[in-house]
Amino acid sequence: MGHALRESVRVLKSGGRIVDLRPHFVKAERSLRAGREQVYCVDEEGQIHAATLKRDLDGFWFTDRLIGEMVSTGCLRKEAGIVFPFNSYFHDLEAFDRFKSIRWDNASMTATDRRNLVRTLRRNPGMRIRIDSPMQLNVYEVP
Amino acid sequence: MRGVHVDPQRREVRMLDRYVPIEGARLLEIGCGQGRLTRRLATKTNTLLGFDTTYETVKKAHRLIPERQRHSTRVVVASGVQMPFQDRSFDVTLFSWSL
Repeated sequence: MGHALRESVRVLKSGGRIVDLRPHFVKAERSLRAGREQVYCVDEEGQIHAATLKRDLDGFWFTDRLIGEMVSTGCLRKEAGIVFPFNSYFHDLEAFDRFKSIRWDNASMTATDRRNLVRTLRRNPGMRIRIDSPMQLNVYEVP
Repeated sequence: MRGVHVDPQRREVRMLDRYVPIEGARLLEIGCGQGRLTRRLATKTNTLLGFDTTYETVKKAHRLIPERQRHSTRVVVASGVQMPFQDRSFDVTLFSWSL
C-alpha cells in the first residue's frame, strides 16, 4: 500500500488529486454489531434486518497512519472527506455467496446470523439481499 | 456477475463527480479489478487507464469495456510497487477499495 501511494504521488501532475474510496468503519466500533455492514432481506413491501457482516480492515489502519504522516509533512493536502451510503444487491443466497467468496474474502458472518439470513429468505422467497456498507471518499491534493 | 448489483444508484460516481475534478481529466485507477467503476467513469474522463496485478482480472475488465469507450479507456497488468508510467502524467489517481 505504501509503495502504491508513493508511486501515485510520482505519477501525478502538480496540483493533481489522489482519491481514496473505501468502506467507512470506526475502529472503536468494529466489535459492535452496529459498527458492521448491515444485511437486509428486501422487497417492494419493505425490509427485514437479517444479519451483519464483519470485515477485516486492518490494512486500512496502516494506510490511515501513512496518509496522516504524508499530510503532516506537507506531501499531501487533504481537500475533502465525506461519508455516504452504499448498497449492494444480491438476487439470492447463491449470488451472495459467490460474490463474497471472490470479491469480499475479508468479510465474515457469524453462524447465527447466517442461519437467520437463510431462514428469512426461506420464509420470504421473493426477497433479495441488500448489504448496506457506509463508504468514505477522501481527496488529497499533491502540492 | 449474475444476480449481483453493486451500487445501482451510482452514488460512487455521483460523489466523485461532485468532489473530484474528473471531467476531462487523465485518470489512473489503481487496482481496477474487473472494471466496474472504470466503465462508469469512462464517459466523464478524457483518458482513463486502469491497472491490476493479475492477467485474468485485467483480461475480464478489458472484455467488459464497451466498444464506444475503447478509444479513451485502457486496462493493463501492472504492479503498484513500481508503476510503468511517466512522472507527472496524470491529473487524478483513484484507489477504489485498494489503498
